[in-house]
Amino acid sequence: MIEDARTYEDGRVLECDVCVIGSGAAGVTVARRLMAEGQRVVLLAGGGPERDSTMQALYAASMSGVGDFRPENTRRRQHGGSTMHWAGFCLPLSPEDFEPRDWIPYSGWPIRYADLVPYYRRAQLDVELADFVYGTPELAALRGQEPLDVAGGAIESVSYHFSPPSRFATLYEEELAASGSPTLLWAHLTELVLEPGLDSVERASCAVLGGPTFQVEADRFVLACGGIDNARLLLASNRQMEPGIGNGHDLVGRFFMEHPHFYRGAVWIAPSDLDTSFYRLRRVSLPLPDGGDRSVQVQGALALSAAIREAEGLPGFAATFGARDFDGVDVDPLDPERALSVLAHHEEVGLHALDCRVEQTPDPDSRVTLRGDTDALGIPQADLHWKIRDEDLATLARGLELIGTELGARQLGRLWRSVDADGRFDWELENGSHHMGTTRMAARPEDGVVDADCRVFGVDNLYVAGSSVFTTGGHANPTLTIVALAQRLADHLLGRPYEPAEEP
Amino acid sequence: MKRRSFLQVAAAQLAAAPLGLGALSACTPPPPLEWRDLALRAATHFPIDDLESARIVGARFLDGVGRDEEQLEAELAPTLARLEAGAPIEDPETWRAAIRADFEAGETRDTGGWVFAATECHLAALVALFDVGPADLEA
Repeated sequence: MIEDARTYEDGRVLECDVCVIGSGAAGVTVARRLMAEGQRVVLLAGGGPERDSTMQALYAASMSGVGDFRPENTRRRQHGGSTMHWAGFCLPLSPEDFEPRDWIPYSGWPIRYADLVPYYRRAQLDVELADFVYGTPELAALRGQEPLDVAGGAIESVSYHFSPPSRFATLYEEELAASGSPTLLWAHLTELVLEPGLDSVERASCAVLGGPTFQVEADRFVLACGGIDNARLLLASNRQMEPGIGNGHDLVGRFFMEHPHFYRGAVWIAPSDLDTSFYRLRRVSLPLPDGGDRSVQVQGALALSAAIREAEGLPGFAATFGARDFDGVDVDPLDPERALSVLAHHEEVGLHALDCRVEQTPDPDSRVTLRGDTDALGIPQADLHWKIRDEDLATLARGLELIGTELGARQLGRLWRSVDADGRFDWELENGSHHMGTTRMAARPEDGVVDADCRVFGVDNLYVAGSSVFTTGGHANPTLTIVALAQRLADHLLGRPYEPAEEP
Repeated sequence: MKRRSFLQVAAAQLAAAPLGLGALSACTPPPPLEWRDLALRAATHFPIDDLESARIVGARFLDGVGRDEEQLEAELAPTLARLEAGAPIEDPETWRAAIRADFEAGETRDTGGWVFAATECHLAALVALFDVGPADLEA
């Protein structure tokens, strides 16, 4: 059932098996699985069915460091969370992303890629895709389009699948409504209250903005409020435990990661007779697990190979054809401000703008903390200090250089990058609205906030879902991995053994 | 692939860039005169036959090399040696292979943002140093 918490009487107490706090990709995925298995669930949605500026204001935060985006504009405080505005990019992390990499500090998840593959398969269906088919040869065969012949080199082809994109509030509305467990709209967590022993959560104190307060008592709690607010809410629940829940090692909020993006000023000039259709968005009929197929949009991309990343000590990097189409552009070729567009006047070559994104490596000084100001619910607002290592930013330039070098060596064209007056790589940092790492997964409490089961170290019935548990973020968009991890967490909460690992 | 395409596109962009270079800047050293014959050879056998584009790209490349004559000679030495070698230079495939080998070896040069092979920058630089044009070739 879907209920409006604004109609609740003040002081009400709800009891359930599992309280899921947050109704985005992670929260809805966990809740659906548990509801389907007969668990008594309370799913808290921190808003209504539509975007609401009053709700968005609850996400307001201060920002320092690199970049100047407004955190409240990069996520959605409503039922369905940020699935209500995502673009649908889906790509799993690579096997190497999970492994310790000695050139990337704090790398190495306590689970492996193979552990997550069975859950990636489920996640594919949750976001309305088809089978987990990401291998370039398989996709090339299904598409009938060949990738570049760059085998054994510095770059490789990868492919994104595009969710329609799935809006979880609407996509799963009927399912949530049919459940005997309530999905509560307009219901906000204000504090996690611990048992006297401080090693488990007793209840979730909740409130409606300007309305009633209520409590949810549960055997287990899942915090699924996004990469900034998962940390913020743990830090703000500090009445009984001064540094905040799960923060005995001062790690909650640290290691904030994004995906630095570069959208302007990189162009691949390709021979006109070179078939680059593998890198364009195309509908492909992909198989479904139980037979049949589904039409899915797929797009190839160029990424740095695992070999070159290890050889040069680089984080992940990928480039896709940008949305801009140079064909038919008619501008004054003498206008230096539109220098890129000059390229459009040369019809004998193919022109492909490249959008690039790079993996941000973990840095404990890139972090979410609390500031003195509070939101309308009385919860301290977040202060986000986004810090990126110089090496990560240098990877953007190096990644493009490696692509340019590979294209030249394979006689596939040339690459141009925007440079400033001194000939230095000139780019403007943009964020990807991907917030990761602030409650990172680790094998030991000294290294992270949650264990391999997504359970908060030291709090035996509190779990975290979402990209805040990412140990490292790769270059892939996070939603598919968020949903896969939520599926895996659901198995754990249901007391089921994890699916057998599938080696790549 | 059209022969002129890459350099022509690059030149068009470099010419339109804020520091657009149609001629050599003041920081480029005067070239040794004995290179002029080699420059004419470069222009004659250049794998991309648009001399105006070559001049623009070459000028930008030279601007990046700087003022030191020894440094310029050291930079151009591999290509000068090939040009002095004689007959093989008349085969365009020689140059294409040299350019490909540069890329494979990571011998690239960032020229106004373009990732070019060292050899193609050197050839363009020689054309730019002597401002070689169609009339020079006819002569």
